[in-house]
Amino acid sequence: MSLAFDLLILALALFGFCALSASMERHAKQVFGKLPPSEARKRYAIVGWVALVLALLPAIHAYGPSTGIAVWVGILAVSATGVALLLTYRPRSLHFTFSIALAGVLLTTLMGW
Amino acid sequence: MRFDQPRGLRQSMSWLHTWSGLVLGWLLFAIFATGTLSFFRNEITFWMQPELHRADKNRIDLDRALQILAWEAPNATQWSITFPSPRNPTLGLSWQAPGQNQGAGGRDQQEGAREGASREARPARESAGGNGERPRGEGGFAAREGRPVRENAGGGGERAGREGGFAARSREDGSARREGAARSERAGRPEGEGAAQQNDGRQQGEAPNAAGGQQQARAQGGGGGGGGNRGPRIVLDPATGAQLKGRETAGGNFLYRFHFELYGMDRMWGRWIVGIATMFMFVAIISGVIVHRNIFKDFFTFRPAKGKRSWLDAHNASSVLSLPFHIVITFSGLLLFGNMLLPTAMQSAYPDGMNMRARMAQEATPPSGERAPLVDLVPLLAIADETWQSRGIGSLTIINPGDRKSIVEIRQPMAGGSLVSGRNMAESLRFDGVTGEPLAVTQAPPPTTVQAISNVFIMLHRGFFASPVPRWLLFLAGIGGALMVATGLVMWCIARTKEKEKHRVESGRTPFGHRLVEVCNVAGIAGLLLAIGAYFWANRLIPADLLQRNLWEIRVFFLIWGASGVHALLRDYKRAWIEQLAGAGFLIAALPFLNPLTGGLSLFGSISLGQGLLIGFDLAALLIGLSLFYAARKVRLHVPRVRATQAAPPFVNLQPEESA
Repeated sequence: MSLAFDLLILALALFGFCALSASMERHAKQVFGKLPPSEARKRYAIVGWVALVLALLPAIHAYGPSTGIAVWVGILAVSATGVALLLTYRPRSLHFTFSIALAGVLLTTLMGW
Repeated sequence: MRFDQPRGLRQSMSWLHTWSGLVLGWLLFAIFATGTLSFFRNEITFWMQPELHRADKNRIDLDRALQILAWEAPNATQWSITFPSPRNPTLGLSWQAPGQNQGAGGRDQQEGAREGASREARPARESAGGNGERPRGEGGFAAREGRPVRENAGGGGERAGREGGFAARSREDGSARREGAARSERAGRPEGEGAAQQNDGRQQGEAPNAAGGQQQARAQGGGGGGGGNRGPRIVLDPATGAQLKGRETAGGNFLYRFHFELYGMDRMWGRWIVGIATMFMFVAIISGVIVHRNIFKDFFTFRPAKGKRSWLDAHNASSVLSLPFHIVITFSGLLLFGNMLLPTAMQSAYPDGMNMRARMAQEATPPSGERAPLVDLVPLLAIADETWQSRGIGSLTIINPGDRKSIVEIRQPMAGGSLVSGRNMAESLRFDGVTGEPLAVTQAPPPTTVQAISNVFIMLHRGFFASPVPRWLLFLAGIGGALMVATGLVMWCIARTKEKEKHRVESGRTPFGHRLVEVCNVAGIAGLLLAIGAYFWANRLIPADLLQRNLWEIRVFFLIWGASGVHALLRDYKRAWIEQLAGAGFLIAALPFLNPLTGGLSLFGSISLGQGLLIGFDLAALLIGLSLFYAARKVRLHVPRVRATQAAPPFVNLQPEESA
């Protein structure tokens, strides 16, 4: 049960950071090969931030507010490191990560149901 | 930077960041590295006692445990049984002999019993009590500790006799004084220091299990692990009730103690030095944030194989990605030292001490003197299990065993669900020890806002969580912190390569300061990791029954660390890095293989027995060791870039010194 929440937080955080990186000029070029229009990037930014904030909810639900925030921050750090490494060495695979993370969000939500 | 010319904020901060980071950087790396390992100090201590690895925690033979207690300590004023936990799969038995201070209040009693003040310790304690004088300031320090106080008297006294000259004198002295403080508080005197000790002891004095409590004497002087070779403490295989004799080891507690009070010096000195280093760290973090131009724009940026650029990126990434952790861990580190660094705050706010809670805990239960059989414990444990559902049972204490007025107290495990409440909020249930009737428990009052905030920071710093997930996250963030310090130190050299080469062309040698930093970098970073690896090897290769083998473990650690300094001095920069990184990589990566060869479990054995903490240790060691190998390989294959604009002097190419 707790594992499902951990995975959900991780998936949301990965999803959020993928989206956020896609909203940034340098990384958007890396991921898409060309720069997407600025409205699209703005949407990515909003989606990214929302996902990161949403990740706080399962953390607090599973661990309580104090530990939950700590877990949230920790998982954000881990997933941001992951996204940064992917962007460095496998920028194209970010599409894939994005989809996996989204699938993960749906799956773990169903698991937790 | 020129101080005689006008300069901008960022420039000034950059200077501050560089030098505040460099001066104590190697110490900070050591603090970060050993502190990060300390998140798992129970697990490390357990690993270092292979005799305990086969303990089967799936079934608990409680009757056997009670039989042993009745046999070993028929006259004890209380018995305690510590249940297996995810962090320690053994069953711990301890007791308090009559005549020992019967700490009042379940919390205190349990703690005391678990700490297991030894019989040999009593003389030291008595004399300490008589000698009530102690300097001010010591109180604030004693207050910090709470828990190890009694243990310390035990350890110190015993050691003084056994160990002769090995720095025992000052330690015993200190512990005696502290014990004095504890006693005066116990006697109910509203004495500032003593009462403060109690308060703080409640707040942060309790460690997750016995191993934690034994740290004071153990780690500083060495001392055994939770192995039951000191004081009345027996470790059992929970399922069979067989007595397990763990080897004497300095264990994870040495690393834990080292990370905040160093070693081989007066404890106060160590703490002051670490406190000052922490302050430098805080300065470096804040100035670093100011210096860093584009925190958000460069958030995910790492550009490898670009020399200085890459190092800066790596330094930024390791700092920024877990910045909240760095800030919190540094700040809470300062908070933990708060009473020592700023003793006047406590003294002026509480001139007569915070003694309310100290008094509350003073209700001792005298025995009646009539014998009566103990109630069947199984139904009581079932009640506790049902009441607490998920958290399970941490320990069981029987006060006045065998007496008509005996009391059974069952407590939750220490690590709580909420950081706010602090660790003393583990709930307990009390029952009449003869009839099994539930008794009222005075629960600790909820923490005040200030206490709650302090609790959150302290619990975070100490990784006090019920679940392993946040602890692993802290561990990863701690590695990030160590990387941050290490990359920063290396960058100091890289940023000055040009000047160094210029100097070499002119005078034929590396400038002294530069060489000094190079040597310290290798010995402080790779050398420390090498020493940690060697420490674990020493644990297995030193004969298990050697007297004071725990001290030998520590000596090996420092010998290897010192040797790495000599090695770094003799070899050139790049060679030294490669050799020490590879050496550390080998020592650490080989630990999972060393374990089964020297009496422990193989990785497969751990998996099949479900010994989670050994699995974690093995995998982490494997991963860290291989990463160090990878780093060594990277350094070896590194070819410094030759800038097109300025041809490098020929000998630089022959003997490349820049590492990466």
